Amino acid sequence: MSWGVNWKASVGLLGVGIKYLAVTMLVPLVVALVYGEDIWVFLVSMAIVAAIGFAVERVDPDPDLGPREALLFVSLAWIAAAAIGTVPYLLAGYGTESTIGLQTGSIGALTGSIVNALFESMSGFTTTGATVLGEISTDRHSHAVLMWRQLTQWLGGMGIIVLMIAILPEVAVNGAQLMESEAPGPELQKLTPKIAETARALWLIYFGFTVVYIVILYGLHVFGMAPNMGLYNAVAHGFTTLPTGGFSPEADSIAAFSAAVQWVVIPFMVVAGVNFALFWHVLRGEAKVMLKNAEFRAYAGALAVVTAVLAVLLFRGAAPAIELGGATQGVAENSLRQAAFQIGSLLNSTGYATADFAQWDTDAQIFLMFAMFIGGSAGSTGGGVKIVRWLIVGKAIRRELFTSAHPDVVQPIRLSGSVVDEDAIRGIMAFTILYLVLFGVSAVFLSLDAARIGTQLTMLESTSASLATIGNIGPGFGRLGPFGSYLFFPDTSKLLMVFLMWIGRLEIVPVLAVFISAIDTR
Amino acid sequence: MAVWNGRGVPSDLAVIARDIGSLLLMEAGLMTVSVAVALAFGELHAALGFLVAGGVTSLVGGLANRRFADAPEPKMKHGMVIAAGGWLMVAVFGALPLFLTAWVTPAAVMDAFVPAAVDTSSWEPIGVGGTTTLSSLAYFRDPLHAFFESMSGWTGSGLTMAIHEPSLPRAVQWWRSFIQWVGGVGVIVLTVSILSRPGSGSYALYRSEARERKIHPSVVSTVRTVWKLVVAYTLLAFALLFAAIRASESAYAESLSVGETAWQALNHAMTGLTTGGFSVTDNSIATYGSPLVEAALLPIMILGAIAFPIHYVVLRDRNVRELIADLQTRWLFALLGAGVLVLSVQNVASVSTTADAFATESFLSVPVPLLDGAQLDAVRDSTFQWISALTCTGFQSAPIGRWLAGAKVLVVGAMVLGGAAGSTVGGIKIVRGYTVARGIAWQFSRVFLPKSAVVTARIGDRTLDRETMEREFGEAAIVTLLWLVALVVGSLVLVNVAGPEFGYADALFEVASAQGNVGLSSGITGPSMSPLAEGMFVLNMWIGRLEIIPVLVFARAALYGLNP
Repeated sequence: MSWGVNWKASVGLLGVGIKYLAVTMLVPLVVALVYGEDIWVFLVSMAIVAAIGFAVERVDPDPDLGPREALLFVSLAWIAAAAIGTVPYLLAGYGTESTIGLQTGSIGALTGSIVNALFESMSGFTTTGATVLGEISTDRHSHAVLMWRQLTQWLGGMGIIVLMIAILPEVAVNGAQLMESEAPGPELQKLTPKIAETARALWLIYFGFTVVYIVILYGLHVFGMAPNMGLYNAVAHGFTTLPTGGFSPEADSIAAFSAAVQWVVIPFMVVAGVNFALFWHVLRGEAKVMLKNAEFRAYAGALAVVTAVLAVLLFRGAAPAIELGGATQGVAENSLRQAAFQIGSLLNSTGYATADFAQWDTDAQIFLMFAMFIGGSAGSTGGGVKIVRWLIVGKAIRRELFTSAHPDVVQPIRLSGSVVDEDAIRGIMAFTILYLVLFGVSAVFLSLDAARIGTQLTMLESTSASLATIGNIGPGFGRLGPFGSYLFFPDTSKLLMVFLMWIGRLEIVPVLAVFISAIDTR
Repeated sequence: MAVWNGRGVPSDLAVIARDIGSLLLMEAGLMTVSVAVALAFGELHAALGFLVAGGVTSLVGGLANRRFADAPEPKMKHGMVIAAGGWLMVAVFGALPLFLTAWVTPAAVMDAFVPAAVDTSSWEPIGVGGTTTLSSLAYFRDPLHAFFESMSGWTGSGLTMAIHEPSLPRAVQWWRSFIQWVGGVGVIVLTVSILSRPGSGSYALYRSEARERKIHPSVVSTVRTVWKLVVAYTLLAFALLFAAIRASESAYAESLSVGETAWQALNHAMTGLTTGGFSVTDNSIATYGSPLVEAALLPIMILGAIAFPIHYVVLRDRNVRELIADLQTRWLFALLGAGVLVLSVQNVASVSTTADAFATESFLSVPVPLLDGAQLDAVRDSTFQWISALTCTGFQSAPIGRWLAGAKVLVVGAMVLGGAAGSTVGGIKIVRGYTVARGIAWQFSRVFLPKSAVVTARIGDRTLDRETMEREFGEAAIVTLLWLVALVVGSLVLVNVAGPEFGYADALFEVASAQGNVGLSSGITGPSMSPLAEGMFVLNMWIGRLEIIPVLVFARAALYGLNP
């Protein structure tokens, strides 16, 4: 059966991507050499991955992508990346206590360990930041493996497809279609006539920010303001801040670092939630484009308002004086810092934490959950529904109120001065409803599935698990808090969440479009 | 630019005031009818309360109606504002008889309403002017409670502030049922004539071109047809219920006199058919403890959840097949069946973990294979509660508050969706849910088609071209989104004010019940709830009944006027 898709072309191109994924493992290999740990793991992993890549490439050595094939390719690419990403985890953890290492004791242990590794890997590539590592420390896992975990987020952040378009000429031919399906947000702004150049520009900006960020972090260390932020940690966090990832090799996330570091992290998290195309305009001296952009303004406004409210809540005592994060009641600097950090982290789906907000008052937690619904900007590395969608939904509702009283009036919806296509508006409606329904149904399923193995989830836990994975955010509430773990979920729930992270990163559309059109054409 | 009519009032406002005034005049008429009920039962204080309320209402309504008698005919742009404003004002004035009766009735007289045969040891006494009474009438001395009850009645919700309904005067019992009944007819007229827009399953009884311009003729003709149907169905339901209660073998049903049976059958027929859900018995339908009564109510509630234009067509053509031909009715039956099955499985599986949610003894005299007594009771409760929820009636036969969160969330799903548009149900309605689902699939299936491709979509027996489909989907999607957002926001507010014994599932359940005009309760609603939550529920019921958009149009008009 063909399903109207030349799947061989998609899979063949997949092989090319997998091949290059083996190359990226050079980074953890260097770390492994420096620390003298797990060197063989990464050598073997690279060999295995490269072999898989070459083998898969043989399916169709000269892939010719049409629009359907492009969508199928994008959908498959993220699954393939997640699957490939498990190889170092499984190998390095073999024969140890690691929760993501290969366990061969029994069938249950085997599948359990593979599911865990897949969860961690998908969480990495989709920049979610939810973890099933029981204990995050360099005693349990090697520096190299933890660095690979960080690197998956950096690769996933700007998008593995965008990276491929930027460097591989054979992919760039159909680049626009590919980027359209992968890029977060409803529409893609073409910055240059050639799509490969656009992709390169985006990756360069991303790369540039990362380098600057790492230099600043390490600089703080050199000048004695951040004792824990050695070169390893600076690079590791550099890999997960700009992609709104949230993984950290420290068990205490950013709470392990000084206040100065926390203040530095905040603006970079905020930057990560901005449409990267806007920085391109700024670099060309057109700062006005950014300031006039409706989504950027809404993003900045939402951040400011939500942070201010939360800071007041914290200042008035919405958080107990806990070990990590310290007292906030009556302490202005800490209240503001904790509020700005947590909002900067959760609103655009990063997932770092400087305080255990799972211990805050219920209304403060519900407030955070509300922020998690907002999401970053289109064209940023953030997840969630995205600000531009809420803007357009809001405008569509306002128009509806007007046109239901005046049915004859035709009123277009404008954003930053230009008219938004009606088809795009309906697409956004469809997306938003589907997102909410998927979120609700998954929350119910997670709670029922946990009850099946005798674990009762609170409503806050089940809803936040669903929201944190489909929105690529990471931490939730209760046992899923920023210093907690998703380890206790049954395998079926973890697989559902792997699916949610995948579909959330691709924003549902490519996946569904492939499925539905396949059914329709049959 | 507002057009002024020379009396210092913009003409738009004059049109709206005039029409809402006529609605109030009609309501005053209903109050006068109820005075007769009060007198017939010898309840002089209640008669006085209703008389004064009727006087005030007719005064206000008459003034508005007279003063703007020469205002122009209402147009479509006024329709929504009149509907939203009208529902609000009618609910405000509908609270008057409750409020006034509660204040003019002395405590000693109130106590006389408490049935002598009932064990009142668990009832909470209510302070009334230095003394206390057990009669729930005293709750209506609080204007917010009276307003809540009236809104719950007029919107056909069925959440109540009167904890013990039998301790209310007959006239007040009657008024609660009566406003649900009339409100039910009102909402059919509303959906069929004023709200029939794309995506709402536009069912016009009479499709006339004039409908676009003038709304009065269409409303009047709709009312005439709907009236006859509702009266006939109510009589049928009354006879069915009367027979069922008489034939029941439960201790409560056998203790009832013929007159009392008739009274209860009449009230429950009125509130069941219009999917309202107020009852005159203390624990809703659970009071009867009778599978027979529950079974008799099932077809009545289902009748109320089928679009009235479909009833009309079926009866006119004497052809039952029209029921199946209609998309919404088909889905209604499918959802009823599937939901009963799923909810039963969920509840049967949870019998061992939920203490005292289900009876332990079988209600059947013959043993049923595979199911023990408690499981059988779970199936019975699931059946009744699912149908009560999906039809947005709100009759309660089981302590839903004690069910597992999973079962509650399932019922929330039923309450959010609701029955067929064009009937008295709440929720987003089947046709809208269907349009959204079709629209989403349609949106994705055309990703690869060129923009100029000729495509059509089918909804029921209608074939829609691209433009119509897109418009229908857009409208349905907006209402659905607004509905979900209001539900989430409302439940987040409620979970914070509802007290620690209620979880998030309870809060979600209660808000879905209020906004879906259902009336099932997990136990949060009652006179002791926080006033903030009570006020919010009034708002939920109001926006739910009007499908949100008209209320927002009303708010917009109140702020900026009706002109662009």
